[in-house]
Amino acid sequence: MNLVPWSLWLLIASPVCAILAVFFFVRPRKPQWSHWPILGSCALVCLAATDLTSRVYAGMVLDVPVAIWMLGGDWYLPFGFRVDGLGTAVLLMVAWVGALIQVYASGYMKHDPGFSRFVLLFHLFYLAMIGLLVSNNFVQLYLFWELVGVCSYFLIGFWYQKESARRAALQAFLANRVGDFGLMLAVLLLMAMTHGNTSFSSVFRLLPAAPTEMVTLAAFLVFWAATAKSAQFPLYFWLPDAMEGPTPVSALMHAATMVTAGIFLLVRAWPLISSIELLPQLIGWVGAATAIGAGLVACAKTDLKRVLAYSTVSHLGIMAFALGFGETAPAVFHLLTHGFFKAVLFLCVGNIAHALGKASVGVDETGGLAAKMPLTFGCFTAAALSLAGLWPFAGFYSKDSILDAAFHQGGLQAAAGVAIAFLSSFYIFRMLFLSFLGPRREQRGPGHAHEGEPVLGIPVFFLSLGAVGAGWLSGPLSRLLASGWMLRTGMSPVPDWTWNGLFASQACALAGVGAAYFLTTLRPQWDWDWRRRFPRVERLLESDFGWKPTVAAFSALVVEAAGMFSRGWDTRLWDGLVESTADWAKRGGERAASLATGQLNDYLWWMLAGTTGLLYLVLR
Amino acid sequence: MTLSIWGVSVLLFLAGLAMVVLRRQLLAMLLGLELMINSVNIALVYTGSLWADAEALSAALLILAIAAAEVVVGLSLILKLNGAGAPVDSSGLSELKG
Amino acid sequence: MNSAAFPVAVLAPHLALGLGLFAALLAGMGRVGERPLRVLVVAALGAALALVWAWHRTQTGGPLIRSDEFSWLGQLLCYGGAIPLALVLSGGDISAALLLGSALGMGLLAVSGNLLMLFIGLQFMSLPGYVLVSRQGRPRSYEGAVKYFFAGGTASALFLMGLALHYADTRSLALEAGSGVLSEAGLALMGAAALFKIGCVPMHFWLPDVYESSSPELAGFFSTSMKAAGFLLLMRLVALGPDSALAGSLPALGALTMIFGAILALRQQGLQRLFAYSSISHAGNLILGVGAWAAQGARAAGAAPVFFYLAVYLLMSNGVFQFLRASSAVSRGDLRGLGQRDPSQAAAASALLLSLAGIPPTGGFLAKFLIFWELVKAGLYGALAVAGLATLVSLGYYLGLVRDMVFEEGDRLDRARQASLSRSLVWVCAAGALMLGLGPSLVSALARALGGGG
Repeated sequence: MNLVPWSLWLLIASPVCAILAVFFFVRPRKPQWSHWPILGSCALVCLAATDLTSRVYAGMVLDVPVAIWMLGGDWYLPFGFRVDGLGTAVLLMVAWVGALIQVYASGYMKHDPGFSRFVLLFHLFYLAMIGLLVSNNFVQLYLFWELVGVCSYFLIGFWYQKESARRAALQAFLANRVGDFGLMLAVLLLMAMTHGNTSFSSVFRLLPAAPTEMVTLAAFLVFWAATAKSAQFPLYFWLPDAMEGPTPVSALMHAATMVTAGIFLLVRAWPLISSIELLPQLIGWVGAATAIGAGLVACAKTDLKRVLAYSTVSHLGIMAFALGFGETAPAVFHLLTHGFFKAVLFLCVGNIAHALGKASVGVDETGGLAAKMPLTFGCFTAAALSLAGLWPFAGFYSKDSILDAAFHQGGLQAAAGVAIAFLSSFYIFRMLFLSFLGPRREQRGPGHAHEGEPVLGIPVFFLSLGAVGAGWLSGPLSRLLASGWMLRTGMSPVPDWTWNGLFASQACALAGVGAAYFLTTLRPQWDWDWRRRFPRVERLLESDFGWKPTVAAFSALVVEAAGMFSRGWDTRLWDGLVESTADWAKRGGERAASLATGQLNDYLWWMLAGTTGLLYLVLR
Repeated sequence: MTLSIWGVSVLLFLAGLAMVVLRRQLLAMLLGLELMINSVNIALVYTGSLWADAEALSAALLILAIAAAEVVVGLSLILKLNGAGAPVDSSGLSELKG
Repeated sequence: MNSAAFPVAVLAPHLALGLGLFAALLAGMGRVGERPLRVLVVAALGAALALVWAWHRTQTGGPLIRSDEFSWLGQLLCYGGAIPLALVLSGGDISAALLLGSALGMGLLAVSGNLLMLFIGLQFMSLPGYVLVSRQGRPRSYEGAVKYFFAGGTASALFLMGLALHYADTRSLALEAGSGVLSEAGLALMGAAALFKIGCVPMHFWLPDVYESSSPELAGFFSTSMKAAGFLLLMRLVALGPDSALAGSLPALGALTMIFGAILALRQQGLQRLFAYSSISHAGNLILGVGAWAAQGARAAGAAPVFFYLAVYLLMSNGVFQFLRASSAVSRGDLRGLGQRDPSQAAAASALLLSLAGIPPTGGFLAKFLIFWELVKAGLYGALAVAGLATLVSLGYYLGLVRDMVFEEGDRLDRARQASLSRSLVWVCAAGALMLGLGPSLVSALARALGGGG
C-alpha cells in the first residue's frame, strides 16, 4: 500500500469529499456557494493528475488492487488502480479541461435556479470519468462507464421542464444502454474466460489460450459499446440531440470526456481488439464513414451547437480511422488535442449565447460579432485553426500523423483523408466567418452583444492556449504512452511529419478555408441561397442521409410489434384456442354450451397445458 | 389389481380435472376439486395397505382433513359471491382481465 | 441428529407464530383497535425471526423435519417479507390471524423433510391467502379470491397426484430422490404446483388479477413472502432431481416468463397490474437462476445468487407496493408530477424502480448480474440472451415511470392519505436496496452460510 502515491488517493478523495460536503452541508444552507468546495476539489485533482503524470513519465507504472469485494464462492468484484502512460495522458487532459470548464460553468449557470444541483452532478460526472480512467480491471471500468452514462442522462435533461430536453436525455440513455449491454456481456465473457479476475493484465495474459469464439465475441461487443459511447455510426444519433443540455455540459461531455471514453476503451483493450483479424480495419472503415458523413452534415447545419456536435462525431470518426491503421498513439494524441480545441469552441458558442441572452444560437442570429466580442473571436479562431489542422497549431500535429498514415496507405484511405481534411476545415471556417464577419442581409447582427464577465473569458483563454500549444508535446507524449503499454509488440509512437503529408494536408485545409471564405464572405447569400435552390439536398442532409428516419421507423416498428404481440396473444391466440376446445366438448356431450368463456376457466386450461407439457417432457 | 386401482384413481383425477376446467358453475368446479384430491386418497390408501405403510395411511387421513378445510374456504367464498345476488357462474367473473 | 427429542429449537419460531395467532383470535373477542393488533403481529413475526436466527445452527433431522440452510434462510425471507404488511395491517383480528397463519404455513414448508409436510405447509399458507384477498373490501375482491382459490386448489391437487406417484415409486413420503418414470412424473407435477405459486408462464394468469384486487400492501406480501416460499419449494424439488425433466425445462420456462412478463407489463396503465407483471418477470429471472443452479449440480453452496436475489427483491417489491399505498396512485397518470408534489417519495420510488430495472449501482443490478454470471457458467447462452432482451424491455416501463414522476407535469391533486408509516417504509426499502448494491457483503455471508453447512 505504501507504493501508492499520495496523489492517487487525493485524486479520488477530493471529489468524493467535495461532493459529500456540498450535498450535506452547503446545499441546504447556502446553495449559491456550492461551487467553492467543488472548485477547490478541481484544483486538487489537477495537482494530483499532474503529479501522477510526471511520475509515470519518470518511469513509474502502477497496477495495484486496492480492495476485493468478496461476494462469496467464486464471485468477487475487484477494485484497484492502474496508473500508466495511457491513463495519465488522458487523465491530465480530462482533469485540466474539466477544471477549467467547471470554473466557466460556475459563472455561466450562476443565475440558474438549479445551480447547486448542476454543480453537484457535474462534479459527480467528473469523478466517474476519473474513476474510469484509473481502473485496473474490466468490471470496475464497466461500473464507472455506467455511472458516466447515468450522470449524462441527468445532465442532458437538466432543464427538464423542456420537452425536447427530456426526450434528448431519454434518447441518450437508451442509445448508451444498448451499448452498455454489449459491454456487460463482454465483461461476463471475459469473466468466464479468466475465472473471475478481469484485471487487464490477467485478461491479456490469458488471451492467447482462450477459445477464439469467446475472444472474438468479446472484442466485437467491446467495439459495439465503444460505438454507442463515442457516437460512431450507427449509434451516433443521440449526440446532436444531446445539445439540449447546458453548454458547459456539451463542452465537457461531448467534447472532451464522455465521448472519448469509447475511444479510450478501445485503446485500453487494444491487445484484445488487435488480436482479431479484421476488427481494426472494420473500426477504421466505420470511423472513416462516420467522419466524412458527419462532416458533410456539419457543413449544412444552422444551429451553432449542432455544427459542433456533428464535428465531434466527425472527429471521433477520425480517431477511429486512426485506430484502423493500428496507430494507437496518434489516436490518443488527437483525443487530447480535440479535447482542448473542441472545448474552446463550445465555450465560445456559450459566450455568444450568453451575450445574446439565449440558450442556443443559430447563424441567423449572429453575424458581425468580431468587433463586439474580440476575446471570443480570438479564441474561436485559434481553436478553428487547430481543428482545421493548420500548422503550427495543436490540431495539425495530431491530425497530420493520422493523415500521414492514410496517405501512406494510398487508395481509398488517402481519398478519405483528403475529404476529411477539406471538410473539417470547411465547416469550421464557415461557422467562424458566418458568425464573426458580416453581418449579412439574412442575419440579425450583433446587436448589444458584448463580452461576458471574466469568469467566462479566462477559462476559454487558458483552454485556447492548450488548443494552440498541446501539439508541440508529441514527443513527450509518445514516451509517456509507451510506459505501461500492454501489447507485447510495443506501441507505435507518434510519427514525425513528412513533407508529402504536410503539403497534402495543408493544401486541403487551406482549400477548405478558402472555400468557406468564398462562400460566406465573397458570396454572402450563398448559405441561404442553396437551401432555397436545392431543398432536396437540404432534406437529405437534415435527415443524416436518411439514417434518422430509419432509426425512428425501426423503433416505432419495435414498439408496435411488442404491442401487437401482446394484444394478439391476449385476444386472437388465446380466445381461438379456447373456442376450438369448446367445440370438442360440445361434441363430447358436455352440457355447457358456451364453454369456458369465463376468464377463470381459461386460466385453468393454461395451467393444464403447462402441466401436460412438463409431463410430456418426462415421458419422452 | 394395483393397475386397476391406480387406473380408477387416475380416471377420477382426470374427471375432477375436467370438471374444474370445463364447468362454469362454481359449485361444480368445487366438486371437481374435491374429486381430484380424494382420488389421490384412493391411491394412497391402497398402496399404503399393500405395503403396510402407516405413513401413507395417515397421510390419507391428513389429506382428508385438509381437503375439508379447503372446502370450507371455497364454499364460503362462493356463498359470499352468491350473497351479492348474482348467480355463481365463473363466466360472470370477468371484470378483471388484461 | 437427535430425532427422538422434540425438535424445539427448529419449531420454536412456529410455536411463536402459533401463539401469536391464538392471541390474535383471543384479542378479537374483546374490542381491540388496529394498532395493538399490528404490534402483536409484528411482535410474533419478530419473535419468529429472532428464534430462527438464534437456533439456525441446529441440524435436526428426523422423519418429518429437515432443518438445513435452505430452511432457515427461507424462513427469514418469508417472515421478513410479511413485516411491511403487518405494520400497516387493517381488517381486525381475523386478518391478523390469517397473516400469522400464512406465515406459519410458510415456516412449515421451510422445515419440511417430508412430502406430506410440504403439502401441509403449502395448503396452510395458501388458504389464509385466499381469504385475505376476499377481505380487502375493494371492488372485485371476491372475484380475485375465487380465481385464486380455484387456480391454487388445482395446483394443490396436482401436487397431491405428484406426491402419490412419487410415493408409488419410492415407497416413502420422505424428501428423497427416486428413480424411474413414476417418481420423475411425480416430481414434474409437484414442480408444476410450485411454478404455479411462483407465477411462471403459462400458469401465471391468476397473478395479475389477484394483485389487482388486493390492497397494495397485501400484493407486496404475495409478491415477496409467497414467492420466496414457492421458490423454496421449487428448489427442494429440484434438489431431488437436478437432471430431471423439471430441472431441464426451467431455463426455457424462465426465459419465457421473463419476456412475457416484461412485454405485458409494458402495456399496463393500472399500476398494481403493472407491478404484478413485473413480479412475473422477476420470477422468470429467478427461475433462470434456479435452472442454472440445477444445471451445475444443485449443490447447496451454489444457491447463493438465488437467495440474494430473493432478499433484494423482498426489499424492492415491498418498497414499491408500500409506495403505491402511500401515494394512493392507481394508474400511471396519477404519478405524473409526483417529483414536484412529493420529492422525497418520488426520489425513494425512483431508487426502487432503478433497482428493479437492474441499473448499477443498485442491489437489483448486482442480483441480476450474479444470475447472469450463473447462466454463463452453466452454459445457458440462449436463456441469457432472452434475459438480456427482457431486461431491456423492462427498462421501458421502469424508466417510463421514473420519467412520469420526475420529468412530467401533473395537477396538484392532493390525494396522499395519512400514510406516514408507509412513506417511511418506502425509504427503508429503497435504502436497503441501494446498500445491498453498494456493499455486497450479504452475498458473501450467504455464500458462507450455504457453503459451510453443506
